[in-house]
Amino acid sequence: MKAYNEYMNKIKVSSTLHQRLVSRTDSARSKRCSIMIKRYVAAFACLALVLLGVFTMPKLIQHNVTPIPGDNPRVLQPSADTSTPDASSKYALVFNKAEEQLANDIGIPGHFWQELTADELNTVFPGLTDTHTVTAAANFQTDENGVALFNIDAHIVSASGFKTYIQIAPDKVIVDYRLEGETKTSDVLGTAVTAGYFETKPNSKGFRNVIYFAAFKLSDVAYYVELGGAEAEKEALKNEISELIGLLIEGGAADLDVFHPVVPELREDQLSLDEARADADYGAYLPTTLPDGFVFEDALRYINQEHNALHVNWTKGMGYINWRVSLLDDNDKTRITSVADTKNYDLTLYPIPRADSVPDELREIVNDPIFLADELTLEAVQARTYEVSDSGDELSPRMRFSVLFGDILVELSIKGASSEVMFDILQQIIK
Amino acid sequence: MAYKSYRPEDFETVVIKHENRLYRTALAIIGTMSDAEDIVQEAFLRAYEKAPEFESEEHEKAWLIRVTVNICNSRLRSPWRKRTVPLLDSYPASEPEQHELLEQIMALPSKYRTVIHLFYYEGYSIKDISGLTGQKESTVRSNLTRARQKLKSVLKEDDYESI
Repeated sequence: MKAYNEYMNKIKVSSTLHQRLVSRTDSARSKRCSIMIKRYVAAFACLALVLLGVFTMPKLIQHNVTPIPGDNPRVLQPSADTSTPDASSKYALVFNKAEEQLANDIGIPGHFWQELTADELNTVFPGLTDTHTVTAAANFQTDENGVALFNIDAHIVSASGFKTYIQIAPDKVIVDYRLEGETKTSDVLGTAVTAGYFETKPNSKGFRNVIYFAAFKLSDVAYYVELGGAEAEKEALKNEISELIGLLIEGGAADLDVFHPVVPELREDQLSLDEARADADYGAYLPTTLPDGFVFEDALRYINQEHNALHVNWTKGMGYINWRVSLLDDNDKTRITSVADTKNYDLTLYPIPRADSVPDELREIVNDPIFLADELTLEAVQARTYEVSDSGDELSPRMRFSVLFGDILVELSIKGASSEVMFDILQQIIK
Repeated sequence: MAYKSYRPEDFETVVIKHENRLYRTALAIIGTMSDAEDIVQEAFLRAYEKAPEFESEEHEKAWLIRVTVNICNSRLRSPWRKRTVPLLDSYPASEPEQHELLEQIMALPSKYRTVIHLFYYEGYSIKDISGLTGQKESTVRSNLTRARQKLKSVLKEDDYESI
């Protein structure tokens, strides 16, 4: 693995990231929620600055206002060596070269999503659905003021196989990385379009990828279009993205009022132990006592369209108790085993390396069996327990299994507690 | 006696000591620069907020890696993940053998990439990785075996021997 190690050794955090890491000392004492808010505010502010450059320039040009050099480093006078419009394309788009690719820190508060129906796709992408395969999801954010469309993430596949990403958003598009460089706009069917391209560094075989991107607004709807591929296909890529931009502009601004989202139940709350115990759905399935020395670390109540669970963690040095409570999922049912069926869970039957000793058809259930609560025995828990001696660590028992209480699934991953103690703790829940 | 606490005056030292290690671990598991940057920030933030007391430097390193792996796994379970810029686009390989190997490693499922990175790059034993990831030792061993098998099946014999 020498090549892998050499590659990894060359990767270092950027000075920007280093400063962000260190600067946490100034703000980390504040509450977690305020940190998250700061994170979003910082991301929005950063993007607002970028988009200011993207969208102010065309307006200034349209109004014959010359930007003053130095006022804003992201809004520059076109220089003599900027690209010229592509004469081969139906639309005369100028693609400026982006010099830098930067990560962007974004998040969607109270996020949920829905896939667009065929009717919604036709409404949002008029003119595209006839000629391309379009799939899209609408992302929504929720807060105390209600629900709002955050953006639409769309993937467009052309007949020739090019896969273009399109983001549409009310007012502002927010992407998760920025391609920065000099900007210059083109007029496409009366709409100012800021377009650019970014070339990756050549890989070991000398091949580069080229990413073409463009941003524009139709009424108050913001669009971002991005298409990447091998440098050898750059002309075809450029033509494809130009055609798509033309089709989008010809189709007019997307009707973003077409959605009638139904807000699912959403939670992502860090809880205290008392709050976790008081959880109406799952609190009763937490241990009432813990093995000596284990200290509460954190608890998370998480609900979205796919998950509904309570996670609680306790630690003791390098030991841990990870306790997850959720509703039994259909996918879990294949792991339910009778205590009588020892081949499904008894680790003593399977010598290490278990990759060789556990039959393929039993691998999943032996890895993480689910016992019915009223069948659970001390012997079954003991059969799941093993000890390893680890350098620099104390000899400590480990176990991993799940217990089903009705339709409530408790998943356990434990290091540093004995099978007898854990069995007693589970018996208290059963009572 | 506590080895160190994350007092503000100590914190930059801790960041300098571990930032590259955590960033590489996050990149290896999550595969994208933007997510990896988020994850490293989150890991140091947790360290700063909790100010855990460590018995040794090795304990400190293991704690931070464990937190990083947990955040990566949490991020991978998230239903809304960011669009990805492949790792090799962000950090191109400089040598042909690097490129092919990395392409194949990054094509592996994240659970395999995790054990590959912790075993080969960080030099942890299977027992250590079991502790760091919360997985059974047998699961770690199985994942490592399967990751090797997958790499062996796609790499030329000479390339595989070199890993």
